[in-house]
Amino acid sequence: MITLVFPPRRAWVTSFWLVASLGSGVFVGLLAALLISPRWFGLGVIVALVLALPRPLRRQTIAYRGWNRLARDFGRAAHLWLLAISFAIVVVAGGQKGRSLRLARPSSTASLWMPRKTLVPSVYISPYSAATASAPEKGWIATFFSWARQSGNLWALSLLPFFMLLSALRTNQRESDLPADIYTLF
Amino acid sequence: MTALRILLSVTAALFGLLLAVPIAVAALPFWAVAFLTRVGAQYLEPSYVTWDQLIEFTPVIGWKPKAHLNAHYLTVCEDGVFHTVTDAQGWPGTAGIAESDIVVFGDSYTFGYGVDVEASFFSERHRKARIKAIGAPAYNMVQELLIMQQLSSQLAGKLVVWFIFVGNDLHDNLVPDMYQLRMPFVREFNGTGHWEVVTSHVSPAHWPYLSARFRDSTHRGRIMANLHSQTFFAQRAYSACQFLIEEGRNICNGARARLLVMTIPDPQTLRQDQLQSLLSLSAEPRSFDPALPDKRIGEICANLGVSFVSGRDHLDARHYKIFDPHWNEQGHEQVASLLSSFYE
Repeated sequence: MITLVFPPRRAWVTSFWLVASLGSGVFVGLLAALLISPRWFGLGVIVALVLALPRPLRRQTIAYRGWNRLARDFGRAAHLWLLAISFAIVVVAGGQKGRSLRLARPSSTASLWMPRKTLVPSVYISPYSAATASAPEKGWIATFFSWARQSGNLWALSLLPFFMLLSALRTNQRESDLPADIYTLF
Repeated sequence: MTALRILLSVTAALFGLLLAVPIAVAALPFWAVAFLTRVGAQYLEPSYVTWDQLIEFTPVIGWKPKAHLNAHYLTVCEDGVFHTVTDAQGWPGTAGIAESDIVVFGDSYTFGYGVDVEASFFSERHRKARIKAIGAPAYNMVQELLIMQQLSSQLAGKLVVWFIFVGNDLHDNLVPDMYQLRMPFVREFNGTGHWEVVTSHVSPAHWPYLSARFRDSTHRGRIMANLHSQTFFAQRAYSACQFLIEEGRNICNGARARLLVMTIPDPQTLRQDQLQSLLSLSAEPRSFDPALPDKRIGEICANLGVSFVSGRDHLDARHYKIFDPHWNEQGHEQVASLLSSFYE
């Protein structure tokens, strides 16, 4: 996850402000040490301390929102780029050598309808994921591994690094997650 | 064919990884900031519960704060986490009714929702009179009346202050549900103007459907706007309010306590920039008046011989929080000094 919780709680804003001050100090210190002299790294400490001085919450929140927007936009662009790479691999690996999917040919009188057993009512919110045995316990990487092995799609494991990157670049904490109303609290 | 497919995909993946490396490098600062911020926030913020974990089912009333709470709870996200404590009966603060001069009945405003308990109007920090708050988030006036009745034997000689939050109390008196919770309400006898309290539906079971006011964010705006205008809905709401205040007065008279009603304005009606949008939601915009609830409740109290204080005369936008319609610490301080002046 590269984005921050939104809407932010006070502790998150304060923590972000401290991290940003520290990061800015390290950046300035390293830059000064490289460009002038290693002794100038102290400048970074001064910058970090000055930035970390208490600021109005509103100003800190503006910085927090700005950084989050930047992270979200970057995440979206990176997501598209990684998806393009993943699709290219699928096309290269799968498309070049045809498909392995086998379709049953029915006789003229037979039907392709498959009887389906019912599921426990509680899983109907997502019956497909529920049908995957013990997926939540194993984690998605282990599930992906076992699916690739069992289905004879070992080539798909080459997509794993990209899926891991996609997972790490998740940006699902958007402004629309704001609670619409707190009517019940009055 | 499988081996060739694997070979092709691994080759393509290696090439793809080269293209993905810049993305991973550029993402590092974002990862680092998000991770460190999360770690820092865990140290800065106490562990908390959500508001529904502060309450529990209680027969007839519907819900009540849990007894002996000493917890932090989360309000609106931007606003953060606040500290609360409750007494052996579940009411906010640790003092009992017996050692108080003023007993305040109300909803979340009375509970001190949105500030630390130490900064609430009933804390010892800024009070001249000893105040006991009896309230819980989301209460309507019917629940407050029922509790007043239950506690009437302890009210002798006290000043009883009844907070009415204009933002939703007047409407919620007329409905049986609060989100998934069941709450007592009042209903009219076939348009006769006589009302009765209904509690027969109150149980721990979830209410079977979600009311429009929780599904549609503009619904609350329309309720508010129509309460501030000469509408049929307003007529019903104020009629029910009159019945409840009259009942409250009778309880207090019977208990030899003095009743004072104080309205709490919704912050939307105190901010000029928000009044226009509220006006646009009214079914009778020509009669829209931001002070109408105070005028109507003031008239009701005058007719019933009950003391009345209009919150609009003492509270303004500065006393409310930015991200949340509750009072800020300044608002609580103002209310504490107001209550003390009533007592004096």
